[in-house]
Amino acid sequence: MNVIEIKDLTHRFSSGEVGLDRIDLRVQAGEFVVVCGPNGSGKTTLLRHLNGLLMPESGSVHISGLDVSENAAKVRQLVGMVFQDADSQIIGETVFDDVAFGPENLLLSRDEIHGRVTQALSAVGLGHLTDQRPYLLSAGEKRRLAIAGVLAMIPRVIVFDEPFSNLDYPGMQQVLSQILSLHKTGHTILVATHDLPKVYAYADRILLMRDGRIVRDGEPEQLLSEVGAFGVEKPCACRMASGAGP
Amino acid sequence: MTDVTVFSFQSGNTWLHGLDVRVKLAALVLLTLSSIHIPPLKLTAMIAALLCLIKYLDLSFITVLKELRFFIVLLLIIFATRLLSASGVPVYSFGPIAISLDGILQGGVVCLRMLLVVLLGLILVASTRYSEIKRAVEWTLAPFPFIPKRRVATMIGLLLRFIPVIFNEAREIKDAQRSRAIEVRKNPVFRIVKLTVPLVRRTFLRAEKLALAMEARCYREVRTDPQFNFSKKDGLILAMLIVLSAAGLVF
Ligand SMILES: Nc1ncnc2c1ncn2[C@@H]1O[C@H](COP(=O)(O)OP(=O)(O)OP(=O)(O)O)[C@@H](O)[C@H]1O
Ligand SMILES: [Mg+2]
Repeated sequence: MNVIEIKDLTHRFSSGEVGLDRIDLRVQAGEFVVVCGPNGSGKTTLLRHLNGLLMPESGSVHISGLDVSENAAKVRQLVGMVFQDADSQIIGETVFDDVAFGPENLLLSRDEIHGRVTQALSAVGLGHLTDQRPYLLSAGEKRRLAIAGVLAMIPRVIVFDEPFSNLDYPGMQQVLSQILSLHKTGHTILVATHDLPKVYAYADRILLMRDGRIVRDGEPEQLLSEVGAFGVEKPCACRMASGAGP
Repeated sequence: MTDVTVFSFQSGNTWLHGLDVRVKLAALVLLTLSSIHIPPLKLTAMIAALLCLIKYLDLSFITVLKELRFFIVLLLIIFATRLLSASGVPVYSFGPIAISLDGILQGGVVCLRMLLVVLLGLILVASTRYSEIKRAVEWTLAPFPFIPKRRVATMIGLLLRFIPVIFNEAREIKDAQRSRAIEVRKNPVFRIVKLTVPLVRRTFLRAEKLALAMEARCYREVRTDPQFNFSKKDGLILAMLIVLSAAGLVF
């Protein structure tokens, strides 16, 4: 079944600039999709259409059969979004409150909220920091806190916008293994990044974007030889094989 | 972003954190009102007590002083005007300037009163989540018809949520400007303009990002609010407050 179904989606900013140009995309439940492309290619703009933060100007976006422009509230619960800038995603005054923010909006009971928050925090390994102030967390911990905030909504699709920016190597590893374990537990994953080598090995499918359009769509092996031409760094193994040197 | 302003919630498990928000708000109102009548000595004692509370909340005095430095300048200006405008027997005079004991007393009392209110606000904000304050505002407005309670409460809650954002932005901009030697420019107007323009722009950008993040997690006015937990302790403190402020009015 298609969880995400985008038909002929075009988006123009108020400045008149075209952000997305006739996008067609179908993503099946449980897929791990990497959206890559250079800065300004429209990755963030595309992802924001998936939960109704931006509405299609023409064309349509359906999530699990629901039209986003008619069911934004329901869709936002189904599609969790981890933003590019972890700092601006922090809403609550403590780690616990921040994760509880989403469930509170769903009008769940106090007990249920407590259960969900505890579970989400332990899933990302932040269970020991419940009372900490979020601003004091490290960059990696902030990113994981954002993931917990999304998990507490029990989404089906989780969208990551540049999840590895600003992270050191261990931080990156933790976030990556978090993403992989979410994929294992049946979530549909979309990762937008210009840093293909980090996720290349795990992706089921890669979308290459440029100037607001999806210019390539296929399995990693198929696209390997082409990515360089689109301003995206090639994964290491490939560069060696083609003799370009490290 | 590591050093968050003291004018924001400081997580902790003190009894102040556990106190019912409504009692805290009542304390703020009662103590502010009674400060209008009480003499300087008692006022000083109250401020000393509040300073103890601030210490108890684990806020550093230095940070509080730093963040209040503009307010303190304002207090000094008020003190000076009071000092100079009061009539009475001069204890010291220098040309046309005469300083009377009355002036010192009056100026001092006004300043102490304002300081008291600011400290009360600081303690409230530092020990209360904005969602709790929102809930308390809603509760307080409940008996009044024709007021969109939920909306007013949401607006106050959001306002409180955004104050630390603005403070932090201001600090970051100031640091960035200081690292490019803005101190060389002595003209205060120039410096204020150079601070305000980017501050407004960045605060809006930042607020928009925050609003987007809230929207992505389904924010709405109707949500599971924190519960009030009015315990014996709250009743005791409320009773004490009422008795004290009534006594303050009478004596
Ligand atoms: N609100 C806006 N108004 C006008 N133009 C915008 C707006 N937001 C984004 N753009 C433009 O749309 C294009 C796509 O932006 P988008 O943020 O989707 O790119 P991206 O692929 O996420 O880039 P990055 O890798 O830098 O995050 C850019 O050229 C950007 O300048
Ligand atoms: Mg982006």
